[in-house]
Amino acid sequence: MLGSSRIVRENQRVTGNKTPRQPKDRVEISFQQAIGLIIPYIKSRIMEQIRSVWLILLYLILFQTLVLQIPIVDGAIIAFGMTMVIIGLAFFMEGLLLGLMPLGELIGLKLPQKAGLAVILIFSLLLGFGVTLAEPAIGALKILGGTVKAWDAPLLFTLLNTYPDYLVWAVGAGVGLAVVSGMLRFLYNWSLKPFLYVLVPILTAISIWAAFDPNLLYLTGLAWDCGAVTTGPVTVPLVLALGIGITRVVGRGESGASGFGVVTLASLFPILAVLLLGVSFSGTVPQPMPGPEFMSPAQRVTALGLFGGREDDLLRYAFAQGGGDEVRAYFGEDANRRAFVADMARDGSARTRLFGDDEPRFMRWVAVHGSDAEKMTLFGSIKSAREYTLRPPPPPRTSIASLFLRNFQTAAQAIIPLTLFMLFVFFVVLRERLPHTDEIIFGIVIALLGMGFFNIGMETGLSKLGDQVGGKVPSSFTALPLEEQRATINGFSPDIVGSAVDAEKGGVARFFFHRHDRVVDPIPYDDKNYDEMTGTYTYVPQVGPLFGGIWGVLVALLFAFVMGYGATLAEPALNALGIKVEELTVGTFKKTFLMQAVAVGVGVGIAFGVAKIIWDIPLVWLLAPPYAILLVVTYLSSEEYVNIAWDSAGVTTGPVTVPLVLAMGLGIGTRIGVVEGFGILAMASVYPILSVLLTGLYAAYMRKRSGAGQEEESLPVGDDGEAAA
Amino acid sequence: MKRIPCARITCEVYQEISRTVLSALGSIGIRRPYIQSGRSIMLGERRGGLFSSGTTLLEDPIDIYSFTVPAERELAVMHRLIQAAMLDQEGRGSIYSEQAERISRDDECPGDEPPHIAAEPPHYPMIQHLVGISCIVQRGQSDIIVRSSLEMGICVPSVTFGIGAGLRDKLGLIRITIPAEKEVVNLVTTQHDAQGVLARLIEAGKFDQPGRGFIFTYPIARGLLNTRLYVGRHLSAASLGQIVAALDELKGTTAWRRKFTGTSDHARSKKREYMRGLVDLTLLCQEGRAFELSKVAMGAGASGATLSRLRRPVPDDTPPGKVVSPAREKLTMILPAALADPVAAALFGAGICDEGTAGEIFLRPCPEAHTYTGKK
Repeated sequence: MLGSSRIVRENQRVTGNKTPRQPKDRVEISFQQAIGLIIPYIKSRIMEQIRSVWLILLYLILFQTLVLQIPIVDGAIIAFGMTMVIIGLAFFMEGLLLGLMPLGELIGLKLPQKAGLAVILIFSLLLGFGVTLAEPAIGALKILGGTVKAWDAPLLFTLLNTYPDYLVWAVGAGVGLAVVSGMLRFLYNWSLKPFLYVLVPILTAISIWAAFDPNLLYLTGLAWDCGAVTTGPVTVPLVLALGIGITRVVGRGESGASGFGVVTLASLFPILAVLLLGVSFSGTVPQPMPGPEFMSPAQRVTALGLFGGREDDLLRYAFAQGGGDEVRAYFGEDANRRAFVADMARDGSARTRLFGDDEPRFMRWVAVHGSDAEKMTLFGSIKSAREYTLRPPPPPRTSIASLFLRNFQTAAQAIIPLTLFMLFVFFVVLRERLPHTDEIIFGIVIALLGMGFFNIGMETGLSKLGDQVGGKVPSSFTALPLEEQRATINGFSPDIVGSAVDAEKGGVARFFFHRHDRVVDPIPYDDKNYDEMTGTYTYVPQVGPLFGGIWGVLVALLFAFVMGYGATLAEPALNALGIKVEELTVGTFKKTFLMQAVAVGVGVGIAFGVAKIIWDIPLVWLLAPPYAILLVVTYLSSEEYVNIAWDSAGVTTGPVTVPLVLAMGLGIGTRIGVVEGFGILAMASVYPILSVLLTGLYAAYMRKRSGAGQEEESLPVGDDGEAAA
Repeated sequence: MKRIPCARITCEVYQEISRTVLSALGSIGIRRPYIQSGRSIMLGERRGGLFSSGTTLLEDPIDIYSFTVPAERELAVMHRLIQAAMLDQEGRGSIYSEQAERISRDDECPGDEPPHIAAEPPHYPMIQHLVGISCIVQRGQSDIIVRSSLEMGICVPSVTFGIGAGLRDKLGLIRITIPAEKEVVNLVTTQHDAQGVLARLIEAGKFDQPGRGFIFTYPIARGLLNTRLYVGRHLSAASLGQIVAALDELKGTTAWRRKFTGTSDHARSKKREYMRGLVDLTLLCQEGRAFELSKVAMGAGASGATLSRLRRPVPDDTPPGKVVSPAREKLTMILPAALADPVAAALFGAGICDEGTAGEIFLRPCPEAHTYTGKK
């Protein structure tokens, strides 16, 4: 057909064009060519992250400016922070995919082939324990716990503040055991379902039982949130990759999409561990009691138990967290207190030594609650005491250097020890060689950089904005003072106060006009805010309720839903899970599909969590029913879907969602005055499982209808062939 | 080195049927087929949407089994599988066989033992003289090819994942800026349609432009293909697929299905220069070895390779406690025929027969191939 010369020419083209005749190990490319490669690469990675975070960013900004109509404070810093979030996420994701995950997968591949069962299990235990210590996720819970008053929830206070190490160890042990049982599952090809059938009812039963003990009741929220929080952005991808590697080697060659499920166990075991820790501690702490009773000398021994026996700590806590009654109760007799304040006034260095960072709080307590004599001794005059209360608290100082240092330290702490451990196992225990060493090292380095940038961005950008918006959300259904817009009007005289007919409440409302920025505003007048001595009127603007009745609450719930939805789409660990799922199912289970399903679930869960806080519903009543439904749906679903769905639950509550959710939870919680805002994260974990499983069942139903690979039973055992013969 | 002719059978089935195929294979002594996960795509009817009408792509997971048998057992094995998995019904899967050659050096790597199945008379009407078309494109770029092949009514395409190796690996760290992830679209069409289909696909996938991928054909001896290309409302007593199957059986040939008549096709498509006289050299080996071996092959003159993951069931009689990994890798290289022996020799020289590699090399002809080959 074709001349032989043609064939030769084509052959040369194939060989000659792509590779040089003398194959070299390395092809040099020019600087321009390199730039031509690098720019689209960076652009695509950055665009990917912009696509994943734009929704939550834009949403927060628009909600605050358009719905709540409150201007954004520190806009420039927030814009900087958001840029850092995007760059950080792009770096971190690329680092995960190039470095951390391939390393995890390699270890997973080699471990069963080269090491015995004992080594695998010890490795798993250490890994699980280590990742918990490394990832500072528990810090987020401590922030939540910071608002818990010692007398309201003594057990919670003890675990979070007095013995936080025990809490971390319990969670670490839980995660360690989870990784061990996860590996055993892979090695012996066990289903995930029995684990769920046993663990979930046990956890629910303990939680219901705990609901009848006031101390343990508060603990359940912490325990369930621990489960959600522990599986962070480094742990999840690493454990996933490890599982995927192991299942590729130890299976008998079944379907390719296995290797999931460890994250689920790593969410459930810590809950159990924390609940058990709480139960074992519950005998040693007092029951919740009113603050003054707790601080009274009669309860001193019990109270000191919560502070490790250190009297100074208790004293400091009384001034920092207590109101007037708590501190008065602490000193028993007023004379004692007077003497103490006098001591403190005389010796400034002792005061600093005793109170440390809490010194302004001590001063403030005296200025607000102290007797006139105490104010005189500490401030010199009643007037300066009064001025002290009017002075806005100094803004926390953060230099750029310390911001970078602190955040990169956290990132290094989360990544470096873990990577060193993995590399040690790989080189020393398994005695293997790394393929693509440069790629893996580069990946680890940019994962580290990315996490640092991301943390900085979260702190200066997203968290800050989340705090502003989240804190303001209650204004949709309740009146909310805007503390940061507090203004002091000097030279005020009550003479200008006028009165108006109050059509809503009846009677007379008092107000005055205030002119600033060429605008004259009517401002409601309240005697309490006028200080005759200084001639100042302190004014805190109020917003809300923006929507009347149930509508306001619905707006808050809707906000919670969209925030959960948007934040989830930006979660790096979920992205990593989605990429792995898509790869292992050869594109039949799309990453975007998984993420949408999970995001809707998280949104619903967070809305429920907010409802829990607003109406103060015990967590158990919101957790037990969905988990009961889940067990049924789990039973109906295929093993593959069960693994992926339950894992996505553990993955969702990551570094983007948690701060935003906490900010909102705290904002609403403090407005409404509930003891603790725990539980929202736990709610955000349960509903994604449901949404993923349900979409899975729907997809299975659709497939059955479309007839792709019909069920075996539905077809007669075909003998057509025989008949034809 | 010698070349042993054999029949290479490929069976693509939906995952729900996979277990049936595996046990059917086990029952005739083929205990360790290679299995690759893939997806199969059908056109689905889209209804109800406000802006959406027409068709959507329905993707389902499939398992692709491949194994070799001595040529004289080929038909018997195929008929057994068709019977067991009911592949003669639409919407179950496809099966086809190729004449391939196994390259072996002094029988160092023992092949699979022949299946214990007697030669049976053929039961099922199979289509003879098919052509396989394989397209290697960037990950995420396969939809256009899949859609046009479905809309042309060629076959139910299957897609697998692969990783490209070649020039990229010689660039140093900057290689990470070039995505290595590939998708491989596999199509099977009849010989009389092959030229037309190839031309259309090159147009659809823009394979004549740089960076779009590689397309090549390979002969398939016979097969029985899944005819369910479209899922939607059935308004008639029999689906189109069933009617097609019935006509095939009546006529004993598929020539009546010819879509691309020579003249109109000739007028439509530009005159294309195909690369000819190539071979497809496939190396199957233990997981973890393929990347290194791809470098060996490239050292011997191969221009690039596609690496994909497979698995191979572990025999039940494995002693307990011993971990036998089912993970395998496949390295596919398209080479000028003259390079097949040097590359194979280089691979043997790199020790593909040792226990840790357990490699096997197969060769099949590759009559036409096309990719961007620089400005003309």
